[in-house]
Amino acid sequence: MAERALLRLIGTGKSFAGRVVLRDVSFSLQQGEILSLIGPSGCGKTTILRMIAGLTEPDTGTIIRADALHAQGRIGYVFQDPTLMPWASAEANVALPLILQGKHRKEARLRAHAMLGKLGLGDFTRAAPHELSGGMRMRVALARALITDPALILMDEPFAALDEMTRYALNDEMLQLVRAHGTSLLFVTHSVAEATYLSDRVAVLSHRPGHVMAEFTMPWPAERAPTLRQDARFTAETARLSAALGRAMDDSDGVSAA
Amino acid sequence: MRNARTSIAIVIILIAAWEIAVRALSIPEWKLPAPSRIVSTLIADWAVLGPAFASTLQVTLAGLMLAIVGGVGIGLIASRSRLLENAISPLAVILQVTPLVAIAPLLIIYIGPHATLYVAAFLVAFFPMLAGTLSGLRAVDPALSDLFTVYGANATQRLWRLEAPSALPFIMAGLRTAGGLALIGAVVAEFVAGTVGDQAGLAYRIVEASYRLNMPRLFAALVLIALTGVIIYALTGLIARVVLARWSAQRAMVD
Repeated sequence: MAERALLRLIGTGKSFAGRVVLRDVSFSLQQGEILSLIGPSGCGKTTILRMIAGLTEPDTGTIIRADALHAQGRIGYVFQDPTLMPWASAEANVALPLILQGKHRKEARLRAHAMLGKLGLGDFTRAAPHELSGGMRMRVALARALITDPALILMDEPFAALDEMTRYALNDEMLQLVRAHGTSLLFVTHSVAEATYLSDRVAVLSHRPGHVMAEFTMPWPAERAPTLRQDARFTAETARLSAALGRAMDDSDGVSAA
Repeated sequence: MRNARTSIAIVIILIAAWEIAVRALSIPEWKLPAPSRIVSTLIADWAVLGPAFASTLQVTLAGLMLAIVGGVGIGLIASRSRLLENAISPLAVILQVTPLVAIAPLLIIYIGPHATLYVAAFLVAFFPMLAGTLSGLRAVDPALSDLFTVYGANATQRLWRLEAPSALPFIMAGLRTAGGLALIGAVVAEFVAGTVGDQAGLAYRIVEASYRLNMPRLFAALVLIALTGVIIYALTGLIARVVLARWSAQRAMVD
């Protein structure tokens, strides 16, 4: 744990049109760690991911990325929507990051095919996005994020639009794949239960301007069973997070009035 | 299928009613020829009408083809730089808003009647192709654009793998419009230019027939012009369907 962090945010801040969205956000992420960010809606969670992905620059502070994150395709991104190219098959969508890296079409397609198989979509590789259900489309988006074997995947509430059963199933499958590859995960969610179940650590963000109010380390091992969701310790942990989230909301009243 | 059957039934009923009305009311041929007379004129005058039909169809298709290449090509080039787009857009709009009939005489003086036919068909079809290409290239899903940025796409990859496919439905919608306009351009130019050597189109035959009050031939030529329009419409529809086969969600835009 003492080794150099994969990613470190130091006092990052961001404003849009004169409104401070993020203020003095600091946290770090270790190799292979799963960190969830929870917080009230509009607290800038998406902006944090966008800054890390290089889609926008912080106004203040710095983001230190380990060398492992520097090459093309080392950071995967799963957006709130599946964000698939509607004109391309599931396989072509998954192959895209490899194609953009300049890999040969055939190799890219082969690897995409295998990755879709791992996510249970082996029979749907030729399907167009509109032929797939919402859950299947999100599986395609996950496969695309995993295809480059990234060191870090950023996920922005990817399962928010899915029904509970599909979300549970995808949580478990994703957890398995991410652990198997030793991939680090920065996971934005507004579901306390999802954060509790998936994470090694959870950072609670305050209301706008967002900053890290508290960090919680989850007491479970890296491998966890779905039955954990029925465990009394799980219930206790979600209650602890919910309370912290409640304090984050309260605190915002003082901040926004200032 | 049911829709097609209904449409065909309505057309047949209308034609039958027309035939019956002309016969029952003994309407003279020089006022309104019966459908049967129009068909017999089509066959009898095919030596004149056939080449005219071929000529108009050829001019329309050639003009449309030029417009597709020109509109998409210039659209692609203009989209690469805001400066270029700002330079081209007003010219395109001026071209679009000036009635072709008013430009045609000038064209005839400068480039001759033969080239005028093609240029006229091209000019009116060009704008929808250009506009479709430009708005299509701009209609990229911002989330997909972010995805390409995250994965380090270069400008060429972005153009061919993101912008061009995103633009296709718009370009196809432009094509449906351009097809109809190219025929109008060809017909208008024929009205103004008249016959060119042995190349006399359907519009010229209509003018000619109207001077002679040859109503059956006028109607026969009109039927062929309508048929040309239907052919172009079906052709552009087919192209759009094939090109957008993977785009089923967007198909509604061109149907």
